[in-house]
Amino acid sequence: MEAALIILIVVVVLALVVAALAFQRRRRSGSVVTVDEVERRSGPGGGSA
Amino acid sequence: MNDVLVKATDLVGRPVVTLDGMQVGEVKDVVLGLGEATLIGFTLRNPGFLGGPMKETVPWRSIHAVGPDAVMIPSVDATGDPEAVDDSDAHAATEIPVVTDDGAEVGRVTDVVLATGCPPEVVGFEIEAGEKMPSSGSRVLLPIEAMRAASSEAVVVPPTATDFVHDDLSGFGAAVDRFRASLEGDER
Repeated sequence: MEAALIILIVVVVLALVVAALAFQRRRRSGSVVTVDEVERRSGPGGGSA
Repeated sequence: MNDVLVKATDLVGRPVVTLDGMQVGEVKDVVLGLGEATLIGFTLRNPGFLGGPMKETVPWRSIHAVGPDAVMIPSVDATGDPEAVDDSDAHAATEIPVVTDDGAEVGRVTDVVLATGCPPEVVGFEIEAGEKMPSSGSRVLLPIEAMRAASSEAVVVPPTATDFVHDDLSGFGAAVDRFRASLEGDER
């Protein structure tokens, strides 16, 4: 019974670690994106020549 | 064209460093305004394996240089103002169809080519060539006009743009110049 409980805890902890790493990886992934720069130019420091 | 050409995806992950040598972060997103073919700026993330996104951004006006190994900014003060490079409404710049003025699809965008001058300018796209291109299925560089209107829905190019496709960045600047000169010649 105790062994099953320990295994369950280990599995849950491992699942949480894997989920956290996957979430972190997704947040870190960069990309090339496009926006409507007409809106941006109206903002402070919005960049267009 | 004397400006250094880079692919936008190559800038992702590049360190952002101040002129006195302090790394403030890494490039997370390259934010482009395709309507006027400009670089808006970069969003940042903390360096390191566990570094998450930063609130600070780098608008293009604050960029000192885009080098082969780092993006240089004058000082930490050049970052800040998350509103300056707000990508909350952003769309992915890839997979946008590229069509000619006469409605033929020549491919889909896989990357964006930037000239790192002042101001930085979108000078072309890397596309996966469509079935109507001689190099169908391969990735080629396609020049675009200066200040060419484009959107997140489609990039429209003159049919003659396909005559100036290039395989790699070396020599692509000259192809862009020749393409644009040919358009100016047509207008006269």
